[in-house]
Amino acid sequence: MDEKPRPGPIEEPTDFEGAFREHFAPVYRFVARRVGTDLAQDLAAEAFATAYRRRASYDPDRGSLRSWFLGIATNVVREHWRAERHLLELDARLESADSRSFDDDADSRVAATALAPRIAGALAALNREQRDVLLLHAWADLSHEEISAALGIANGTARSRLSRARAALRAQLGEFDFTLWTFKETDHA
Amino acid sequence: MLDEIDLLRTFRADTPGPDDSAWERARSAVALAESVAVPDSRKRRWRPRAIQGFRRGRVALAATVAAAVALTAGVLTTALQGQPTLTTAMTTVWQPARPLPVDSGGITAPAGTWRLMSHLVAKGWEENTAGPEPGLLTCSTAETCYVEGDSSTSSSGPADVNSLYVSSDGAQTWSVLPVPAGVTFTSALSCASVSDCAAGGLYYGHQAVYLTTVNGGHSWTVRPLPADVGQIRTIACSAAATCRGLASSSGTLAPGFDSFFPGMRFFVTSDAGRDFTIASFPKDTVIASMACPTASHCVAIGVYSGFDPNAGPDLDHGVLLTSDDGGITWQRGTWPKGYGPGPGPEVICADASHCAMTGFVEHDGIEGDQVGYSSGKDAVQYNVIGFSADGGKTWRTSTFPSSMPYPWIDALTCPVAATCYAAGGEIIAQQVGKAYNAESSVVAVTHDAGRTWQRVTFAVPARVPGGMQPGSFSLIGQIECPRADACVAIGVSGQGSTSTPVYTNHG
Repeated sequence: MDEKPRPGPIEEPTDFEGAFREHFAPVYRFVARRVGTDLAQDLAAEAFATAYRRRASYDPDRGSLRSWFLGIATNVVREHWRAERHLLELDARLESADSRSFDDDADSRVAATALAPRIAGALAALNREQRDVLLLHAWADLSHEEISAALGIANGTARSRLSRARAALRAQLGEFDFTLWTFKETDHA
Repeated sequence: MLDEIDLLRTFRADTPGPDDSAWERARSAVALAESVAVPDSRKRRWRPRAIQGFRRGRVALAATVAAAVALTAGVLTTALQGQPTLTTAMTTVWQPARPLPVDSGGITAPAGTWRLMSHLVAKGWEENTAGPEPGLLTCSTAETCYVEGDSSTSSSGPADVNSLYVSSDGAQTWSVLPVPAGVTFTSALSCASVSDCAAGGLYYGHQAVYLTTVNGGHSWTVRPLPADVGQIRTIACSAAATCRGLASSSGTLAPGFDSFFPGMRFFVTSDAGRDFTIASFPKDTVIASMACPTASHCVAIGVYSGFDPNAGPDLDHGVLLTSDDGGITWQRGTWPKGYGPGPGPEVICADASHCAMTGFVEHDGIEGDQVGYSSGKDAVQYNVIGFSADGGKTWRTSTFPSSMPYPWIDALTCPVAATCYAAGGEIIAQQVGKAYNAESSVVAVTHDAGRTWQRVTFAVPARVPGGMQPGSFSLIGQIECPRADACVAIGVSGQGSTSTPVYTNHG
């Protein structure tokens, strides 16, 4: 998970070009998962334009380039919270998961689709800070330390915020059976 | 065993990566940025949050309310690298408070019942791009409360606490007070009387200053701190001119952690910030919170120093110090068993004997304990409260009732020895209007020094008041109880909110 930090700040456009090639795709996908592909083009582009303007502020002592880009992308997404919330609400309104279990790889896509409304509803119930750290961890594989660097928050804060978000998510998911990979009940609180 | 993170990874897992047009759009955006950007050759470091107590996030109460500040005689500013610097104290002229529009939207309830009382910032008064969250609350009496607000708009930048609000009617209505131009607060206010208050600050972001008001914030004296006193982080005033607190050893804090800044030192001033006595804590400690219930007795808590800046401090093992000579020398105490200091430790003392502190517990997830299973020592985290009846030497652990299984305590206050209020959030879902929050605000009170707690209840509005988002009601950030039966608390503001809820149990 931990990426070795670059040896120095991004001072030259040529440095940035290499960083862009390496990190744009995962950052784009992270943004797209949060706000949808329609908006992701604009927001990912905005994130990298912002990163370019602020490239001198990148401090390799504080974290990896990946976490820096994702932190900027998170801030950009934050400005479009309505779009994110709207998308989560739309997903939550999809037909609820049925009670079948999905323990076969072949069913994984079906399972993901069936579970999506519940997960969307659970994510929508989290507050912004919790959602940020949780998705940086789950979707971008950032560690506590990387989340701390990405969001400019203390390591302990990142750790506690992530723990709290996980607990809140578990509570929101209700009677989910992690062995059978299905919900025991279908009522969505 | 799979856990909630694995489940979350299945969600929208089929989202495609960027196609050619996405790549091209981004390249164009960067090229445009390159064509208009003026590269900043100065390397700007990440900076820490400036205020302890903002554990939950961001505040953005708005644009400055400083207005024009006239300087009285004896004020001299100079330019240092383009930034004004104070060389002597300045006093601003008296200015009236500007009342915020009344927009209570509160819930009608009898006195003594906790309820939403008012909104701190009315929509339209202040522009907020990130949504306001609680500032720092100080209640000098049950009727008079102040809130410092943070205007920062980025979660990755330093706090920008440059607005000040006051209520003189028990948090029912609020007004905006002037803040001297260029001043940002670095500590909460401490008020020795209803109108005599002091705080730490920064002048134009680079010079540590001492702020005092003798008229409830209508005018301020801004005094540059001596060279050996850095940025003030906490302050508690026992008299108008006599205050103690924690300050950094230099004017600009090094990158650090929300509550833990290596090199914090004890200070006391008895002449409103002209002269200071400084004392250092043991070198292997980083002190985050301190309480001095008398002129001689103090209790301080923190973590061990020497931690890896990237990994952060050890939150499970704390440092406990006491002083009986007014903070000049410190003796090590034994940290209580069963909990650590956590990311935002807080100690308070109602009198020389009775103190309380927040404790932090974390452990591995237990299947069946909560739904599902989650591994790692930080899978489950919550707060307990430690109580001492011997001035902080020994401590007894107090847990919350089963109605609050996993509380996250943001603020603790003990107006009298046995009565304490703890406020924060709990993982209990609630509905506000048509929306669900995963967490609920909680306040718990004990009248027997933590042997029993009662969770107070207060209704959320049937629909979300204007300017707020449902998340505004998910936790409480600050609580102050000037009397055992009179408290004021402020919530947070959910994403997109332009207003912060204010609760009270009196008035």
